[in-house]
Amino acid sequence: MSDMGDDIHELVHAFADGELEPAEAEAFREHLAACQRCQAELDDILQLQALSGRLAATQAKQAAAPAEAVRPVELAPPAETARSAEPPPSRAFRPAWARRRTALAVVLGGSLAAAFALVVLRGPGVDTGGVGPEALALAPSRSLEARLSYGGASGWRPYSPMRSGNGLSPDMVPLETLAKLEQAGDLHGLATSYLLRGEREQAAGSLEKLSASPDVESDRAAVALSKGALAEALVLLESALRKAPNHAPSLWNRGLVLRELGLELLAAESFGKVAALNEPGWSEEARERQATLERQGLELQRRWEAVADAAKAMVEQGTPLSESQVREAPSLARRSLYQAVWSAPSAERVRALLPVARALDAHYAPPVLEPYLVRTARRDFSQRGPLAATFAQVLAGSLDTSAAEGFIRQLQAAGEKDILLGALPLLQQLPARLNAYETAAREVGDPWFVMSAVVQRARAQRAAGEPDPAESTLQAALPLCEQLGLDYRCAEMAQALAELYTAERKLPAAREYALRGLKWAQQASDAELEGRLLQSLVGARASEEPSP
Amino acid sequence: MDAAALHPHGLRTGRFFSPCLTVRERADQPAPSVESRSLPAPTLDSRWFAVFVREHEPALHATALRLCGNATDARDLVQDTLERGLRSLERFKPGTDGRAWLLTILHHIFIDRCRSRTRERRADVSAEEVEERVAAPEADAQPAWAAISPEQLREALEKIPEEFRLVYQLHALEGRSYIEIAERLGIPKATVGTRLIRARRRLKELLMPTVTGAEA
Repeated sequence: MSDMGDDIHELVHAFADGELEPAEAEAFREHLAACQRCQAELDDILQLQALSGRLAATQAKQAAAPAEAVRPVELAPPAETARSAEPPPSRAFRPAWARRRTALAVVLGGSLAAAFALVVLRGPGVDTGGVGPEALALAPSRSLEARLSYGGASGWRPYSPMRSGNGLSPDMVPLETLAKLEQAGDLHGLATSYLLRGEREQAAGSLEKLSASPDVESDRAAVALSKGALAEALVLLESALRKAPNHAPSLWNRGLVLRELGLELLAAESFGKVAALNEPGWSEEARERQATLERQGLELQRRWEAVADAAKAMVEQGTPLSESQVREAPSLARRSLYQAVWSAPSAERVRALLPVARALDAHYAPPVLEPYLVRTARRDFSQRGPLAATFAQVLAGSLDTSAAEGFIRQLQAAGEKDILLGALPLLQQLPARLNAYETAAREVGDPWFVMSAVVQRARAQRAAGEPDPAESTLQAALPLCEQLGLDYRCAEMAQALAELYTAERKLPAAREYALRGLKWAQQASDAELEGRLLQSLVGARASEEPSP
Repeated sequence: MDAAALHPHGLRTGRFFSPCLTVRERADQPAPSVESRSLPAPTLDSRWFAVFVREHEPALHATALRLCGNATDARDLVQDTLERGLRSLERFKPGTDGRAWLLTILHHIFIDRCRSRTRERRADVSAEEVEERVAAPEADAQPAWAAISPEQLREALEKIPEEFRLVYQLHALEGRSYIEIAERLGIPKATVGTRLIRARRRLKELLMPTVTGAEA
């Protein structure tokens, strides 16, 4: 599909914004015809857009009335004045909060300008043959969110992407300076200039010629980050931090990468380390970023835990999850739905779960859950009921291990294959009874379990010391899994592959799959799985370090 | 794409507005601004509607163009929206936002078209059935949205995380494209998309907290 995300439902946004390619848009219209969720979301998007149009109109009116209250220009060094004095383009009016930002930047400007001058004047010496680094970053604010390492551009300035009203970078390093740097053979300065000018490829080219010091690696990571190559950026930063664990620009940029990966709490931790270094300006901004990210991360965690609690109640007491809870954590909802069905003592209890099944069928492509529940509710509960009660014990961990064997046999004899699918892994019967698991998965006919069987098979192969067949099992099934959109299973497969490659020390591949898995886990909004994949990612990094 | 396939209502006869008799011509006398809120008790007749439409048509057209992907279908969609709006004028609640109301109608017709087109592809359906589908009675405008003020949106925007707000503001208030925003902020285009999604979802939660849990 497009680079706008793989979840078809999320495409409704790019569609509404006219950002899909014509063929994609056409395919999406077809999806829209059948998908109520997207229809409702499209309505919301249009309404929100109309509301925003009204807000823009009122603010434009307000903004037109008083003259610009504060002119950031006044604080800009002379070199900047000429360009900044150009009247701003009329369409780029500034809403209230943006004006406040500017005002804040101006108020802070005085002391910051002093701090900035200080850093530039005694920036960490870059070896340019005795001459200090060329001061490159002269605008009062910085347009790059990332941190650069070169002495002439490493000082703190407030981050203000909004400032460049005309789309130009505020740090338009003049060509004479470029020529001077080139003449002096200052490749790092040259690369930094390119980066400030927004010319990423040239920047990458110059950085490539330098040896991999932490400064250089951090800057390479900044280039990678700006291109969206998150894995590459992360690898570079980890390498820099191994050489210099307190390398501030690397810690900073790592925070940005982790945030882009949706790992708010880890990102917060990275910014926290920068804050602790007490550099003028940077420390403050890092602390703010840390606080914001922590708040976001904890909020997400809180929401996940709320759904997890509700899901537990559904399994134990049969209280169905609400539709919005299902939407919030679909894979958790799906796994809990199965457990709730397996432990439901009566047909009524199964039927009470139908709304959850329908909500999930609207989310996951082949709608298999509603028919499954209807089928199950028709089973003979005088026979299934007691088995379901035993399964509830298994789930609670209160079934005696000696009873496991008998329970499995009973399930097989009664033909309750779905409960068997739940019981086998929980009773540690895999990989020993892998064949029974695979057969049951096929007979139940739910792709969720067919894919699970693949993961189990690969695990068994790996445990038997056969990494190659394990790899091909997973590689063969992953595309199908992705096609079916079974995010949770795809994440599991990717994780298994990442582990395999880590063990074989194929680290770039391991990282690639860990990141892919992470993306799937996030799509499934599954915090638990996200955590596991993160471990794989960290594992893929740690094993790179020389063993003691 | 076959443009004709998108408007099976071409089968229909008797239009309220003929395609060439657009609202622009009806409202050629100097149009007073119809901010419905400022008019104490407007008479909701076709003449009022013509002026009302003149205010909202450009925005409707821009939306229709994004949804349909071509000018012919977009023009048709707007035309049908206005027609149906006039027909169900009594449903409009003065004091709520007119554009929101028209957009609800536009959204319904657009979804209906997507549906009938998909069905046509899959099986032959009778012209009557299509007609029935297209002329299906109009659901009420989502009152929730139409009653929210720009001021409430402004407040909600203050509450969402900075990076979401920035992207949302550049997109929805300044009308910038994903790629423009990506270049401006130095972030990947895909990130612009995901931040926009998150921003919208947060905003909806803030603006309609009760609806989120209970909606269909």
